[in-house]
Amino acid sequence: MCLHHSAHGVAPDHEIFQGPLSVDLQWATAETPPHYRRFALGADLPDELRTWRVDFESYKTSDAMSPGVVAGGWGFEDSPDCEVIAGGINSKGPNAVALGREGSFFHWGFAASPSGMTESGQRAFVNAIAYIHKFDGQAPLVKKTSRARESILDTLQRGKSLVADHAHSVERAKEHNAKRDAALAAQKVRDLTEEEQRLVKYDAWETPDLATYTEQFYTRAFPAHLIAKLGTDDLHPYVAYYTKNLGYLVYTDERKFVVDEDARAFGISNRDVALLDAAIAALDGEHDARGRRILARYTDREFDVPAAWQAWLDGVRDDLFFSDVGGYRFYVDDKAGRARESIRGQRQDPPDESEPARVDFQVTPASAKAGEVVTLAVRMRLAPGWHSYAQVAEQSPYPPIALELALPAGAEAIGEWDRPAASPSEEAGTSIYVDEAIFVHRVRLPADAAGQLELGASLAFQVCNDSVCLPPNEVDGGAKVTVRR
Amino acid sequence: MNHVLLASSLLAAPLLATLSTALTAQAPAAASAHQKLDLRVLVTGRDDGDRRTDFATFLREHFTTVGTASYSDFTAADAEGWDVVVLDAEVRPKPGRIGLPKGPKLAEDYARATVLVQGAGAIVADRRNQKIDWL
Repeated sequence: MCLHHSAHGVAPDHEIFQGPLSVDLQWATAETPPHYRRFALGADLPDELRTWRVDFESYKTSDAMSPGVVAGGWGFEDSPDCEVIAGGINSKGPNAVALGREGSFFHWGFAASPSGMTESGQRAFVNAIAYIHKFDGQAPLVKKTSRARESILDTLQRGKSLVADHAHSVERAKEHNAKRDAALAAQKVRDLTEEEQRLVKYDAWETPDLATYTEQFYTRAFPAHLIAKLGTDDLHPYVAYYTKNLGYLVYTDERKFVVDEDARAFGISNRDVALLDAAIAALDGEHDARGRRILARYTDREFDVPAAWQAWLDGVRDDLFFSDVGGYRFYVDDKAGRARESIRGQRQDPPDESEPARVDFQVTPASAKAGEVVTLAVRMRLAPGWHSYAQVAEQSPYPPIALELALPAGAEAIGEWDRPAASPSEEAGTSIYVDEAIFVHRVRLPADAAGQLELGASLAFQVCNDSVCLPPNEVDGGAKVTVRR
Repeated sequence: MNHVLLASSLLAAPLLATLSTALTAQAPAAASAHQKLDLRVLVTGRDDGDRRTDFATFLREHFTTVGTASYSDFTAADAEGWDVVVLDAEVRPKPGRIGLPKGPKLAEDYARATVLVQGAGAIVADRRNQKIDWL
C-alpha cells in the first residue's frame, strides 16, 4: 500500500506508452526514499530517481487523496504471463509494482480517478485498457502460494541495521507511550479525541532489549539448524550462505528458506530445467532415489521408466517455467492452447458471402522478454457453407492450405506448425476445415531484441462451397509483440 | 462435392488477393485523435459519489461504449457483452480503517480483461491469491 503520485523504474518502450494514444512521458526527479536503503535493491540506488508524474496529488500532498497500492516485486515475473511496467514512490520497497500485468489483469496502483491524473497519466490509462484487452480470457498461470527466494536478500539487508532499528523502536515506543500517558491523564478532566481514545484503548508499547531483539530477528528469519550452526553474533556467515546457495533454495511450511540438498548435490539450480535432465539421467542408477525426489518435488508428473520421463520433458521443454511464487515447481505453459484461446477472444467482423474467409494474426503473449518463446497464431474463419482444404487426395485439383513463417532477423522458428484436426470430406484422402482453423507456431524471440517486433506469416488457401470455388488466395500478415529486456 | 472451378488452372493460377484482408491483430486502432477506440468498457464503482462518473465521463471521450456497474455487486456475469472491465471503487479512509467497500466475489475461473485500480482493484486479485497482491 501507500503508493504516491509518481512512477519510477518505468519501461518507456512498453506498449501502453506507445499507443493507441501517444504518451508524452515528462521526466522529473525525486529523492530516493531513505527507507529504500533497507532493501537489497535499494542499497546501490542513486540519490535521485527518474520519475514520471501519474497523478497530480497523493495522500501525502492532499487530504482528499487516499493511498495508492503496490504489489510485491520479488517473483512477480517468474511466470511468463506477468510483466512489471513501472514501480512508484511508495512506503514499501524499491521493486514494488505500481503498474503491471498478470494474465488478463492489469494492476493500476495509482489512486486518482481521471480528473486527478496528469495528461500523460490519462493517456497511458486509456492505452492500458486497450492493451489488457489483448489478454482477455488468459487466467493467471500460477496461484501465489509461496515467497520468492530473493526476498531473503531483503531480510539480510535489514539484518545489517539491527542496532539502529532497535534504537529507533525504543524511541518510537517512548514517544507513543508519552502520548498515551498524556491521554490517560486527560481523560480524567475532559473528553478524549478519537486518536486519544485509540491510544488509551491498548496497552503501552514494550520494546525488548537489544539482545532479545536480535535473537527474535534470527529466529524469525532463519531455520533452526542454520542458527545452531552459524549462531546469532554475526550476520556475515548468513549473507555468504544465502548468496552462495540462492539457486538451491526452497521455502518451507515453517516460513524459512532452506537449501535443497538434492539440487545442490547435482550442482544445478532447482529453477534450471537442466536439473530435470540430470534427475532423469540418474534414474535406475546410483542416484536413482535423488533423481526421483527431484522429479516428484519439482514437477506434477509421475512416470515409471526413464524413457517416459525423457519423452515428457522433451515434449514440453520449451513450455516449461519454474515459479517460486507458485510453490517452487515447474509448470507447463500450454502456449498453443493459450494462443488459440486468445485469438478466439478477439472481436473481429465475421466472414460472410462477400468475404467468405477472413484471416487474423496474433502473437501470444503480446509482450515477452527477449529470448523467450512466443506463439504466432493464424486464424482462418469461414462463412457458413464454405470450406478450405487441409489435405487433398492425390490428383485432386484443390490446393491444401500452406503456411510459411516470415520472421525478423534473429527470431528462431521452433518446431512445426501446429494444425487443428480437420473433417473428412466425401472424397477419400481429402480433409477440410469448416467454420474455423487456428494454426500456431512457436517462435523464439531474438536475444538482443527490444521494443516492438512483428512476426509474420503467409497463408495460402482456397475456399469452396457446394457449388463454387473461389480462386486460390494468399494472405500475408503478422502481429506485433512487445519485447522486453 | 460438385465444385464449379472459377479459376482456369487452379494450381498454376496466380495467387489473387481477392478474398481476405490480412489483419494485424493489435489494439483497436484510432485513426485520429478524435476517433474513439472500438471497445466496450465497463466501469465499476460505488453507487454514491463522483468517482465512477469521473471515470465513465473520461472514458466516453476515448471508447465507443462505456457502461457503469456496482463494484460491490459485480460478478463475472456482469462482464458479458463487455470487452474490458475497470474494477475500481472509491477508498474512504477513516481512523484505523482503510475504507474499502465490500469487495465483489468473482468466480474462480474469472479471466476477463480487467484493469484493477488502486486498492479496490488490488484487493480483488489479492483475495484470489494472485501475484497482484496488497503489499
